[in-house]
Amino acid sequence: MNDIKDERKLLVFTYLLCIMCFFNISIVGNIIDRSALILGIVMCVIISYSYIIIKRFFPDGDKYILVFSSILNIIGIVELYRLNQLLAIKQTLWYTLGNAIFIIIVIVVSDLKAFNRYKYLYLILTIVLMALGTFWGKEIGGAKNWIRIGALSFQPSEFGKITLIAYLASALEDYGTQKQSRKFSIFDSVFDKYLKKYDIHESYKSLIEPALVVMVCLGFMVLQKDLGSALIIFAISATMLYIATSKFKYVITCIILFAIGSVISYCMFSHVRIRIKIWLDPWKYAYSQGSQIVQSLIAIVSGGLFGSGLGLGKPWLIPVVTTDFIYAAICEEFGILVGIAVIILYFLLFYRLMRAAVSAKDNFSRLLAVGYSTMIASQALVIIGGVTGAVPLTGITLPLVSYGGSSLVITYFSLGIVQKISEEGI
Amino acid sequence: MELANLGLVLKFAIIVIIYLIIFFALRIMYKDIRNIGKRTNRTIGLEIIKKGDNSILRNGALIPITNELTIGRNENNILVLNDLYVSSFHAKIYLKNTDYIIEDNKSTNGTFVNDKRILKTILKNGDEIKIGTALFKVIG
Repeated sequence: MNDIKDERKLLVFTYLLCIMCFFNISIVGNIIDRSALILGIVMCVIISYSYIIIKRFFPDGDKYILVFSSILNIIGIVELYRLNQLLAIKQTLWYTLGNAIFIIIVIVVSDLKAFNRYKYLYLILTIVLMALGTFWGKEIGGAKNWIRIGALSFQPSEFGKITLIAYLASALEDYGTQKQSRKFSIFDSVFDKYLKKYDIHESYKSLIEPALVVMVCLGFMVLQKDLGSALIIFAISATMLYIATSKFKYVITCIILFAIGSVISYCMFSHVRIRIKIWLDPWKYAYSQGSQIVQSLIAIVSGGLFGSGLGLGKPWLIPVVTTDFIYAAICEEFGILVGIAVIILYFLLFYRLMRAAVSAKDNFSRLLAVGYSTMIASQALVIIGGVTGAVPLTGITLPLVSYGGSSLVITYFSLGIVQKISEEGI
Repeated sequence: MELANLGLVLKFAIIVIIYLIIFFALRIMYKDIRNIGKRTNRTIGLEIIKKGDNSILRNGALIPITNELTIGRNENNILVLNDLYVSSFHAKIYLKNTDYIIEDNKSTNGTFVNDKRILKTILKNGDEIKIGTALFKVIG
């Protein structure tokens, strides 16, 4: 009984937050902005709609994933509305589409375990999607991985991350079990003689193929100058590897390889050097290449603890504010307290997603859940770190908060699958 | 300048609400973590109050349920009742989160908990389950 009361309280507070934020925006100008209030009510309707469907028809699953993601979306749409009304409305459309995908996945996918058979399909899709950007991509904002189809532009590497996680889950699920020998691996014959000579434990064989795939993906990301995605792919692979094998030495190996790779790419590629240079001392380049990070730092500080108030700050001075630097705008207008609260919210969302992984019954579902939660969490960490100057800046979006159709769709797709996994467990 | 004051009030109210949400969420997480520890060893028992027409049962005996108990006339069930009023796969009692659920499997004569016919309900200590002519009591 207490649980239901707590859920209700959380939901009521979410509605309250939504109404108050939009009300705040609407009274900022000299006249009451009615479209802001309408947008607030529309958001509340969408939230209740999805929540009611999940609660009534699929009550076994996790009810808090939707709540936390809705809160993050509300904060994002409110800030976007303050920056650019058209983008906010487009983002609401994408949000509706994301919710619809979430619900469709929960309804349609009946047996998640059966999807582990398509390992090589995922492999081909991953390589194709990652390579798409290199060969046909346009360069926007320093990263060459946007594909334009008609009026829409999207990043194929974002979809590639999903198929990569699916591939890694199906490749690593049999690690250490008897079924290993059943899965056909093209390296079996080649490496058999080599490995037998050195008496290396058989489990190494099954790891070589996924390792090569991940290295190829990382290579494509670096070629496309999308270093943020490279960092996220590395984080996902290392985490899934550790969960699958429970051997810390593999993680150490991964970190060492990553360090070697980053040093090599630092020497080889100029854009890596520029990023590190700007990160080490942004103030020296405040008027040229470092202007993004400098403006972001100034904005965060000028907000203070409680923020300048919605609509009263100057967030439009921050470059790329609707996508990468939305966190800086939120810190300026809502205050550092809310900035910290957003980090805590991401942590709570990550906890709920990992909880689904802990209670999953088979290895494939568990690895999938771990992969998707790491994807969302590492994305949030990398961009928040980049925006505040803690890590070198990369061009990835804050999941659920930034404006971005493909980012929202991908995130809700992952959330839907983890929600499905949480249903099966206890 | 009332609108400015209202803006100020709203600014603080928004921060307060966000932190209230986080506080309640953390409380839910805390209760959740406590429940995970409790969940792993829950066994309940069915005490036989009235054995009815079943020759296999004895009054006063206790049937322990650890995760799942299938009840019916068919011998593939865990608890086999040879009462004529019991269907071959009559009902099932299983563990879900921290509760035990009893589910009627479309039986002819129904399953009754505390004299109310049910399809699927949560079992609590002291509930009386009537299947056919047999009467059981839940011991937690």
